[in-house]
Amino acid sequence: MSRIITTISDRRKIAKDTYEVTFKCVEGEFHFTPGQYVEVILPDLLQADTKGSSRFFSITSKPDDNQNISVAFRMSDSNFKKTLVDKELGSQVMLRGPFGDFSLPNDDTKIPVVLLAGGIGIAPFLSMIRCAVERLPEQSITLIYANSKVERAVYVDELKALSDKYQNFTLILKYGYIDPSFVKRSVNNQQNCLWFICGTPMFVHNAKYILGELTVDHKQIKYHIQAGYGERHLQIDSREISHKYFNSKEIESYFLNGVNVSSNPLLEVLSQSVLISVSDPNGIILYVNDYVLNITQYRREDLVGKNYNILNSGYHPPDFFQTMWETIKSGRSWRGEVRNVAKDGSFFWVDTIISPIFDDDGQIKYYLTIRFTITDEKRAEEELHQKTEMLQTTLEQMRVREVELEKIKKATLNILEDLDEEKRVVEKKVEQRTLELQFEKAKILQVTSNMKAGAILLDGEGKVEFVNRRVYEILKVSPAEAPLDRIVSMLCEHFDEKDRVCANVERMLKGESFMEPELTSGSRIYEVYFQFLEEQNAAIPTADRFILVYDVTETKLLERSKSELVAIASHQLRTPLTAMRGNVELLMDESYGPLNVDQKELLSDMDISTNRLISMVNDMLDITKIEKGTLDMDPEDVVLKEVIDSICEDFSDYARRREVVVSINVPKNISVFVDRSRVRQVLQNLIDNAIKYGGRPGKLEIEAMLDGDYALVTVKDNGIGIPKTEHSRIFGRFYRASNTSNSSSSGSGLGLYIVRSIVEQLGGKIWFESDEGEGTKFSINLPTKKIAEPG
Amino acid sequence: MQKILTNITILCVEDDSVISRVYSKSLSLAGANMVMASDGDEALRILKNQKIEVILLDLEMPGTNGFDLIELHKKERVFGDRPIIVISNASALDDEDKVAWLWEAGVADIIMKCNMSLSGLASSISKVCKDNCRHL
Repeated sequence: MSRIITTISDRRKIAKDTYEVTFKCVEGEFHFTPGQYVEVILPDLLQADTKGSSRFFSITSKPDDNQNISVAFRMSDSNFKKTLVDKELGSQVMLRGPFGDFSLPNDDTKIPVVLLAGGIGIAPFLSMIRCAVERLPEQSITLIYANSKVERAVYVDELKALSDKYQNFTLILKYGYIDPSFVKRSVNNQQNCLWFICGTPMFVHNAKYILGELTVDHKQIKYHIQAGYGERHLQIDSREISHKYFNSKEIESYFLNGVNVSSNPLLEVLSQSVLISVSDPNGIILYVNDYVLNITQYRREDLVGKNYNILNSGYHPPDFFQTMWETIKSGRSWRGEVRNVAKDGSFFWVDTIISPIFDDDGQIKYYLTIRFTITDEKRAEEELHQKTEMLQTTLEQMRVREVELEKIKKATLNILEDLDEEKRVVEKKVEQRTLELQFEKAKILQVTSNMKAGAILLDGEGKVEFVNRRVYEILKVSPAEAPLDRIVSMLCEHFDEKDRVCANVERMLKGESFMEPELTSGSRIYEVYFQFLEEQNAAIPTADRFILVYDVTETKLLERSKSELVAIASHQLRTPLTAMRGNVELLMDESYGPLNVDQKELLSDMDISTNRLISMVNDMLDITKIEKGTLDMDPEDVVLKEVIDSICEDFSDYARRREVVVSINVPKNISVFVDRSRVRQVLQNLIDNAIKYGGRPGKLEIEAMLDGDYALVTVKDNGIGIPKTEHSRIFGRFYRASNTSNSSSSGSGLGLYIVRSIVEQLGGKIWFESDEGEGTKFSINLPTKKIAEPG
Repeated sequence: MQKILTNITILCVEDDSVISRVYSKSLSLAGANMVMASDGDEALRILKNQKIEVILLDLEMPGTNGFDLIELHKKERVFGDRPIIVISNASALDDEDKVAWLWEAGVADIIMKCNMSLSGLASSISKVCKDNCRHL
């Protein structure tokens, strides 16, 4: 017997559900004779198939057939067979064997050979026939093949071809069961044959019975229980045979008289794995095979001559054995699973079959006991039981988990549904928002297209997002001529101050906002806003910068002509006013005769009115200049005390007449860096107001002090004050305090407006504190040194 | 009127007759000898024929105006070393550049007509004379 690794070299379907697989062997590696069988082992199936990783198959190929070993089998649910058929050609498998001594007589006796086959038991005969028909032309071979199955039998076609070709081979097909007369007819009453039987246990049993009927000498019969179902199958099958296959003579010849069991193939197989013992009718042991000694650890002399009590483990109750004895004594077989004890005290389980063996008189002569060790199976059973319990626990746990999973699944589904709902809501919102945005954009487009200003919207990179129609009108191009990416540079080019505009665009992109009041393009004048939006534009979110271009030519021209009109009118007014003033002065001077009190009063009123008119004209001209931005500023160091003293000297008569006492507290060392005439104008205005609106008797305090880089000058009177409700308006144009109705006030109402404008242009600030009836204090601060130009 | 301009001969170049009369009367009352011219050409003729010590010059006039005369003076010294007092209501006096131009041309004083009283004008002329006419 050898064990070899081989490869699958061929595989074919030879009949319905029937396959032949061929293994390729190296020459001389595996020796077998026709009719032997082989164990095929698929190592990768060790765990996958409940019946193990190996099966026994009859060899269908000839021994010299290119060292090929072919096996045939009918497909079943067996995982093993499916795996074998599915294996790729070239896959490795293991073979063990050969088994069985089924060879044809190799002598010159020329005794006819009759082969009795049932079902797929034909397979081992095939290789015998294939060999014999050629090699032993003189040898007559008859195959009686009984097949009860409806399906077309395996190899029938090939067998028919062989019988047609070779005279020495006769094929007799029988659909259904065979009986003694059929067999007798088939062999022409020729009983001196060598009989080979192969098939299922039932077939073998029947065939042996038939041959018994035909009084064939049992030595002439060789039989082979179909082993194609594997070792385990073989065991179970062999349990059925114990008493049926042995009579008392056979017991004696095989066991008691020391005949070698190997002459019987079945016994040979059995004795390697089965406990066989023979006892007399009283249970005294007559024979035990080596396997019994092996398992029980006793010596043969310990057992032979004793009864089986020595093996009793005490596990089973007494009535267990009582039943057994009653059964076998009545001539029936008993079968049961028994726990025995070995010599060392260890237990072993055996599946026990005790069969009575009768003598020719029908008396029980022996009991044949066949025991199959099932300790492993019991253990396996135990394990299986444990495993089943574990499996059940696991299943239970899985069921719990399943319930939990189901819950989770439901919860998840709920969440998903919620999410879905949320998604729908969000989508709806997005849709709505999109619509709103489109609407906003449409509105913006509509509004901007009708806008007087040209509008360009850009993002921070300078990418133009939107241009309204007006831009194209300003540039005098069509939208096609001015693509979006060129529009800004085209706009820059449009202006006479193009470099300046380009710089402005850059500044805006960096995030500045500012306005150019006057840019020109030829005769056109534009006001341009470069705007950076802190807040995002909702409709066009990325466009957060824009350029607005207003064509202000007409407005500017109108403004200019208005200013010019005012300037011209003012200047033209000055000449007659000068004449009036001069004539009044001449009269008041009494150079042309003395005046009475009434005349003097009338002329004084005229003088005041004329002067007021003159100061109004002057104020209007100043405002024109302020608004045109052409107020002259020529800053220099101006000593405050000098200016204030000078003004007060000019006003000294006036103050005296108004009964106003002027006190000056201005240090000599304070100087301011401003335009001399303008600071004088400011202070003159404030002092004039203080005297004019001061109390009677009035008190005017003029003070100055240094405050950091500024000089603080305050002019405080004790006069009527400014009503609280008018505080916010006093620096406005044409403001005249409502509580000054007396005719002596001669202001144009432009004074404080001009004062504030000038102070701011001088780089200072002006503010006041006043309570009605308590007087007013004006404060201005003016820079003492040159102010750094912003930017 | 205080007699602060006694025996000073003043050429007053003034186109407006009312103003002209007021100046003439008032400065005469202050003691000055007044010679009146209603435009630049007349002023130039008078300068050739009469002894003039101070010139009161209006700027805006028909014909040859004050600017023209000063331009001429810059080129040809038409007023010689006589002090020139610009006295005007013209908007030019609001223009820093023009005022600067006048000072550059050597005028002795610039007076806004409407802002100046007659006595103030007399004082200004007197002051200019003291500074510029050493012989007085």
